[in-house]
Amino acid sequence: MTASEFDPLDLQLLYGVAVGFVGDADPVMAQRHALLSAMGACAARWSLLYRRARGEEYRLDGRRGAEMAAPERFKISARIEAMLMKHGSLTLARSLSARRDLIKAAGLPAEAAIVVPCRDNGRVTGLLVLGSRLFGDPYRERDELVLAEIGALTARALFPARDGGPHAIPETNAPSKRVPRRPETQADQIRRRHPALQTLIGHSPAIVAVMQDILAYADSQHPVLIHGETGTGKDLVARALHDQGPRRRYPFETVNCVALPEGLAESALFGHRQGAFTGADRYQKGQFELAGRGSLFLDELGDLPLSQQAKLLLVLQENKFRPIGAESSLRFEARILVATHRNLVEEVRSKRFREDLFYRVYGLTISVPPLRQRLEDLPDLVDHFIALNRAPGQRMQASDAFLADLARDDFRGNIRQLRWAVIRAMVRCGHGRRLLPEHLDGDLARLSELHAAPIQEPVVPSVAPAAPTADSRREESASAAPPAKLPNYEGVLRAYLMDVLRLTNGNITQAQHVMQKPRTTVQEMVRKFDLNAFVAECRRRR
Amino acid sequence: MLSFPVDLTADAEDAMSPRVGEVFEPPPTALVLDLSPVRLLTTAGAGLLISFIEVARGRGIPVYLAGAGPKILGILHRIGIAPPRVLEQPDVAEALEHAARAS
Repeated sequence: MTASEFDPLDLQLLYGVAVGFVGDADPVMAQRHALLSAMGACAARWSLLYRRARGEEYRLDGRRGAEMAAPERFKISARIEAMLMKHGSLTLARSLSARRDLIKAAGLPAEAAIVVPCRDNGRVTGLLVLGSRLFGDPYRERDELVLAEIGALTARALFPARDGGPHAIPETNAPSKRVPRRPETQADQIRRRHPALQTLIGHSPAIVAVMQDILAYADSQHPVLIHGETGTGKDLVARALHDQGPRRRYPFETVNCVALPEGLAESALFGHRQGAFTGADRYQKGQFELAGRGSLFLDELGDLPLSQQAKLLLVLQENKFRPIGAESSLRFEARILVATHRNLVEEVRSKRFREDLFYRVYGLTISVPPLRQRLEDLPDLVDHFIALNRAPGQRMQASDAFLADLARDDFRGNIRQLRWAVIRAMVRCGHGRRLLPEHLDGDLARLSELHAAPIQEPVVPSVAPAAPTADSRREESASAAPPAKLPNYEGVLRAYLMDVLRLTNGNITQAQHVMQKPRTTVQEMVRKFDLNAFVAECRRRR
Repeated sequence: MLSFPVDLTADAEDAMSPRVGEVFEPPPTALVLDLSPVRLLTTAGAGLLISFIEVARGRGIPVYLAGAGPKILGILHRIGIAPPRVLEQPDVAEALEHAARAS
């Protein structure tokens, strides 16, 4: 393709990519530039960069964007290589045979959408693999052309066919010691046969049960209710259900019911026509329409306000919805997937969740186990997070002592908590190769202490006696008289906030994370309880 | 709200990436990306921007692109980041107000 055939804006963007490679003397920076440029050129959700090692083998060199399981190495056939050379890229939605070879056989992520060769001097020396586009739109011809150029620029900068390219990175991952392979588990077999489930990490019976549920429900059209504690990965289960089922070629739209803006909820969900209200200057599709024939994932449905529940119920009953200002209704064709950490039965009983809506969504259910019930998956999960977060070329692994220390925690924050514990440990480990217990630096003990704090919250004592503890039983035996004065709710809330601030050295960001409250709420509590001076004092002591 | 630097290129990653944890834990009700300082946007910079939008989108959090000049918006539209999937507000203060009202 000649320069004159490109759109002027694309030409300008490609010029920026080329300049970026010239300007970056550091190969690691050049690699970062390649990965981010490929993502940014066509709004891809993620990018992977593989370098050609020996023969047809490609090794993972770097990654950016959304987290997903990707093979460290894979081989491609001569046929695929010839296709890459011929076309300059392979859009997997258009080539079933390439999809079969690269996803089913080579093990690339099921969500891989396009493979771009890094070509130099007539040879494929690397591969850029990109996920689907950010909003589920298909790759355009323009994207393929721009990406082919970025692939060529990347090859020349990072993987030149002849030695001596500007940023040729010495191969650091050459196999040194052969690691004994563990026998294939049932979970491995499922992941091998069904690549859409590769995002589910672990081998425990609990995670295998989740995988089996996904396989059983993927082809059904009925709603699925995914239940599990916060941080267990309910969104990954929903995504796997979509990717495994017949709707995978259509969009996957997520609605976070907690974040749904009250005033704009109807417009966000159902869309609006031009002129429907002041400021509606153009037609805007809502998420029900954007989902098309794909899947609509209603995350944290248990938190949806009652007013919105009624509107959602109507859509589910009639399978149609009307955008604001529209004269006619549109047919709703997507499959509904819902997730919640709440006990919906209890919510119905407490009149916080509509019973009729409950029976609309309470069809097939998948229960995602908390991490403490699948601690045998800890090593796999830790390896996964290390692989996702390590620097390009960096080799790092968790020591047995590190894993043993981790396993002592009860992980109330589940996998999200584990992820941050591993990332923090990696930061503390710096350029080291092994994560050790000292890299946890009391993280878990601190969190356990903080998580334990709300249990002492005297909301219960103010209405009913608390369950007796060993200490309280001893006290009772000494004196049966009730305590002279029970602490009031606000007093204990203030004490709890002070504890959190003390342990987080007055860092509001960390405090809000621990308390699982919005930042503004924590700031408001600090103001209300007159703790500004206390915060400053905690920061000084840091 | 998250502000981006004057030159939004691959070099901005070191400064911006650590902010993912800060911005999304706990999840906000809306994410306002302040693009008013940005004068240079490369495809790599757009990739960085996408990584934030992707996290927000995965959690169903509405994203406001605020204060972007016409050149920057032109690039974003070209690569495929455009309404209705993201909300655009020419003025950052208005975007914040809008996001606050919406929550």
